[in-house]
Formats: sequence, C-alpha cells, structure tokens
Amino acid sequence: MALKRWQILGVLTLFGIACALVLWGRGQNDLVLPDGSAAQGRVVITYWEKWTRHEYDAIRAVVDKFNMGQREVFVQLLSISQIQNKTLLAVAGGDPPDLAGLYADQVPQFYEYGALESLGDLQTEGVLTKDTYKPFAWRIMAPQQIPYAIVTTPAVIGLFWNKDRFTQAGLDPETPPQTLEELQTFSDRMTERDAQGNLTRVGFLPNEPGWYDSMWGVYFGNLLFDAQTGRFGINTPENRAAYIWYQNYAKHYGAQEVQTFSGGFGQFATPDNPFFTGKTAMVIQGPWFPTFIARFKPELVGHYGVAAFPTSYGKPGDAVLGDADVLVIPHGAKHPREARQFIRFMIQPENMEALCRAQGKPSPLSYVSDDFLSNNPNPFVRFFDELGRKPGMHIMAPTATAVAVREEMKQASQSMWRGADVGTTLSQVQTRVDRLVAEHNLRQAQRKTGGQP
Amino acid sequence: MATPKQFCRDNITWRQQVTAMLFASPMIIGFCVFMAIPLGMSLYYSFCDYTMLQKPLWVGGDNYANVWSDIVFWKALKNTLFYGLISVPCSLAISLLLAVLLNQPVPGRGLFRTLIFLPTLVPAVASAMLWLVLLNSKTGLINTLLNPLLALLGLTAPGWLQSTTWAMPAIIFMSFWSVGHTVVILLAGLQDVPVELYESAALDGCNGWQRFWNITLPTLSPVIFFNLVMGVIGSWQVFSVPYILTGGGPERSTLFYNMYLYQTAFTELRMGYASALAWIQLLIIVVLTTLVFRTARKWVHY
Repeated sequence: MALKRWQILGVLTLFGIACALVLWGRGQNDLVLPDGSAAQGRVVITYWEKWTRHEYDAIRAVVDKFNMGQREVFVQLLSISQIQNKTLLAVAGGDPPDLAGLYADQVPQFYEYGALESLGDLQTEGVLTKDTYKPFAWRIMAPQQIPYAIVTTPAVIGLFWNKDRFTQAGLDPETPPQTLEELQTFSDRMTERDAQGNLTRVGFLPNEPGWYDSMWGVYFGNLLFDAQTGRFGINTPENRAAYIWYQNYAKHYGAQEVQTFSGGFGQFATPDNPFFTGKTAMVIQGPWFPTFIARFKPELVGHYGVAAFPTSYGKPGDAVLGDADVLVIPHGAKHPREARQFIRFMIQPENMEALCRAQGKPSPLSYVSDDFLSNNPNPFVRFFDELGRKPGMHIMAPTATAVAVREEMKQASQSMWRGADVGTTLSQVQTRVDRLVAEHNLRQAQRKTGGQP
Repeated sequence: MATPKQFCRDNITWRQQVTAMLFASPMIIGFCVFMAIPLGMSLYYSFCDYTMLQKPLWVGGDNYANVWSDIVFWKALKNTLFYGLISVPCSLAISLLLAVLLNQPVPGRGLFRTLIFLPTLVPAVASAMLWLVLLNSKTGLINTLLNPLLALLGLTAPGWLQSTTWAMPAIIFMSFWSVGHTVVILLAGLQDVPVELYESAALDGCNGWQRFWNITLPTLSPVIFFNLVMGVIGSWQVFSVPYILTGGGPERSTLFYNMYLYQTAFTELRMGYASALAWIQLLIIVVLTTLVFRTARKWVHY
C-alpha cells in the first residue's frame, strides 16, 4: 500500500521535530560565564575531567578564572566517569575532547600508541621546562624526555597513623615506626581480639586498601622497571623479600581471620573506612587522605600523623611511591592551539597552586610559595612536598605494558597473601610478563618496519 | 495456485516495494551499522594486533594460538562454565517451583507474582550494590542471620566476597534473585496445559506428583527448553554484577569470560586479542546451544 499524502506529511513533521530537538539540545550547552554573560563568539573547547565533589569544584574555579580572563576561548568543563576508557574510545573514533584529565599510568600507554599531542613546542618555547617540575612529576610528563602531559595534582604515598590508638597501646603518639620490624611490633601492640579470638582491631595490614599491592618491592630496594634492559623487576631477590614480608602478615594474623575481619571494612570514601572507624591504626595513603578525614571523620583531625614508609635497607623516605593526575591534549583534538592556551594558563604557578591547594594536595612544581605551604587545607602539605623531592621516588614503568603488569602483580599478591609460594608465583608472573613485553615490542617493531618480522 | 514469487510480481507494485523498503530501512541500516559491520570488523581485528589507537597489524592466527597458553583465559573459561552449570539448572528448577506454586489458587496470588517479578525491574548495578551490603561478612544481613545458627555447630559464616571458595557460590546465589522473567514465562506455559489432561489423570487415579511428572513437565517442556537455551546464552554474558561485587577477585575466582575480554580490550588495549576471545566465545555458545538442541529431541514434546 502506497503512503497517503497526510502520512508522508506526518512522517516529515516528526522528522522535523526530531531535528529541531537535536539542534535545540546542541544550543543548550553550558556556555555561560560565571558572571552570567554568554560566551558567544568564542572558540569552545571541551575538557573532560575525572574529578567529582570538592576536587571538581577546585578545577571548576581554575577554569572559570581562565574563561573570565580572556575573550577568545571558552573551556567547557565536563566531569566524566571512566575517563580513561571514554577518552580512548573518543580518540579511536576520531572525536576526542580538546583536553582530558587522565591518570599518570595512561600517559605511557597513550603516548606509545600515538594518541597524545606532543607538548614539545611549549618545552622549546621555555614555557614547560624540566627544572620547573619536581623530578618525579617530569618523569611522568615526559616518558622520553619530551612532555606529552602536564601533572595537575601529584600524589606521594606515606604512612598515616592514628595517634589515639598509639596512646592506647602505650606507644609514643608522635613517633611513627622507623623500620619494618618496628612496624610489625607496633602493629602487634595495637591488634586486639575478642573472647573467641576473632580480630576486632589491627595495627597494620599491608593489603589494606590494596591499591599499591603490586609495588611493595620498592621498599625493599626493588627496581620496578629497568629502562636499560626493558625488563620488569618481578622475580628479583628484593621483590621476593618484599612478598615474603607481605605474606608473613597473613601468616601472623591468620589469612582466614583477616579475611573475615576485613570483610567488614566500609568503602574508602565513607565514614566506615577502617582507618576512620579505628579498625586499622596505620595505613598507606596519599595527600588526598586528610581532606577525606576532615569530611568523613572530623573527630580524627589533629589525632593522626603521616610519615614516610619504612624501608628494609635504609631510612624511611629512601623509597617513596609517586603517582599523579595529568592533563593531556588527545591526538585528533579539534582545537589543539586553544587547548595549549589553556595549558599555558594552567601551568602558571599561581593557578597550579590554586588547584592543588583547593584539593589539599602538594604542588608538582619545584618552586612552591610559602603562602601555598602555610595556607593549605592539608596540614601535612609541607611533609608531602618534601617527600616528593626525595631521590628515591618510584613511579609506574613508563611503558604501555605497565598497566597489564600491575594487574598481574595484583592477582599474584592476592595468591601470595593466601599462601601461594612466593618464589614460584613471582617466577610465573615474570615469565608471563616477559612474554607479554616481548610480544608488545615485536608488534611495535613490526609496525615500524611495515609489518615485517 | 500462484507461487510466492508470482504473487510478488503480480500483486506488489514497484512503488509498494519501495515503500516497504523505506519502512524497513531503519532496521536494515541499524543492523548493518551496529551489527553486521562491527561483526565483520571484529573478525578482521581478531587476526590483527590492534590497540584502537594505531592501525591494525596483521598477525595471522597468532591471537588464537596464544589463547591456548593463556592461563587467565582458562581460568575465566572454567569460572564461566562452572557458573553456567550450577546457575542455569538451579534457576530453572527454582523458577519451575515458583511458577507451580504461583499457579495455585491461593489468596494474594497476584501480590506474590508481583513480588517475585519485582527484582527483575531493579537495575543490575543497584541490585549488585544491595547484595554488596547483604553479603558483608560483618554487618550484612545474611551473616547476621547465619551466624547464630552456625554457632550452634561451632562454625562461623564465611566472608562471602573475600573468599576464593565462597565468592562464586555467592554470585550464583545472587543470580536466583532475578528468576522473575523465567517464572512469568513458565507460568504462562502452565496456564496453557489443557485441563482435560488433569481431569483424565484424576479419573485414572494419578496423584499430584504423577500428574506433575507425566502431564505438567512434558507439556511444559518446550517452555523449559526455551528458558534453558536463553539461560545457557545468558550465562556467557554475565558481567556487571561480578564486576561491581568482586572485580573478578579474589585471585580471579570470579573472573568471568566477559570480564576478561573487557579487561583485555579496554585496560590492556589488546583489542585484537580481545576480538579473538569474542569469536571463541561465540563458537562456545554455538556449540553449547547446538548440544542443547540435540538433546531436545529426547525430552521436548511439542
């Protein structure tokens, strides 16, 4: 049956309404400046950022300042979950945002696969220089000496301790453990069990929160990745020592008992976080932690301290874990020039400090103003700033395979916690990782030679 | 009598054919853009080293060959098979039991039907979060109820999601939460069983069990068969609940096939290998479904 005229008109009308709605939706973008005026006539660039809550508010303030300070560019800031996957798909699909706030471990992946715009021109101009940044931040930004990202907020990992729990256990609340042996002794003194022998409070558990379970070796002198040989340090004497130490906690407190005990831990960003409830007295965390304590357990403010984590071979602080949030221009961005304009603004010390201060984190810059250190919501920002300058800073390996290796080590550490033989497990992981790296290197080499083996 | 071809030629005008194609075109275009082309592309990528960010590099059958020595692949395969072997028949049995009960003329039957169907309306993420609370080893409702009972035997309830032994059974148990769809389909099937058969059986002196075994089950077998096939396919699509509850842990004891595929593709950026995994998964589903169809000749009565 052929369509009647009124039916055709009806279909066309519906199609017209749909188009109008789409166009109207496009016009409803948040293109209003903080003072309420419209940002008409400007080049609009999109900026995807992972942050939420107070961390989003901090970057929002910096973006607003940029938008108000000039008339050519409008940065449209969007808070995006699962940003690494969405940015990846957007780049692959040829429609990435102009700016993306990724995690540090994505930089080598994206860089190696050609998904990032080089910021080498800013380096040539002298705007973005190695000396301006703390060395570990620069290593994250420039995997091969040329910057492909800027560190927005750095993370340096330390040992937080609950002073009240120290006092209750008869320990000096102002003196954190200086050695790994002391850490174990202090932990034992603060560990309590009920009448049935079930754990009710523990001093320290190396697998809580479990975010750094793949990297314990650094505190025993292990090199996570040897840039000379291109090999990950997994089945090394130092790493074996690290995971024997790690496993000993499970044996000491009982893997089954710890499992039942830690099953009652609440989520990180809730008042039920085990450090907030006093179920654990010491934990490794980053500079963001004081902000979360102030938010979820304000009674704990002033009753905790933070120190460098002890090492097996030297003083606390001889080995430090570093991480960061970064800002990149994805390859294929529609407005790379305007995105660079924002990055130029972002890396100015006053703006960098404004962002880090509002998030309660240290600055990635080597020069830090007194005002930043003195008027910071994080009472330990000075400590973190100093810790971030230590020569023994370790970051994730600057290779695309590092993410897969971390996952392998995470799974292996769980097995070892439950009693798997350390030597055998690490040997198996080393074999699997070596194979993965070899295959990756082969494929990358084949790409360079046009597919020839 | 005219053949269909002649009928088309004689009775449908060119204009009518164009109109029909125009109406069908959204589906055809959608199928090509979102199904056929991606399917073809993924088959091609499965023979390539592909990161999504670089051009695919042809590696022949290497991805398929590497699967054999990939211990994580075998672990994910074993987990998924185990889940399917336990979850699918148990879900069917529970659904059948509930459907038979809900088919009885009891007061409040409509309310019970609604209550059993209701969980299927809850989004997977929300129900996973709910179960996360229920299964908490210290404060969860399940252990709070179990512990006093187990204490009589000198036992304690397990840390469900932290235990390599209990995490998978917990996820299987959770899958029973959403049997509502199957119950509704079985209930519809039960209401189609001819009453005369039950009447004849009653005259012949059959008891309740004999009526169920000799009348209800055979009559319901096509519906059970349909649900079995859907259940087998569904068991290979499990992702969101374990992803939220355990992330595949502890020690990959709840790493499902789809989770490994996702991790390979989007975390490790090994899209070529992930595509090979996807095609192997399709092959496994086809084999399993074929097996179910083969056995159907023996127990499905149309």
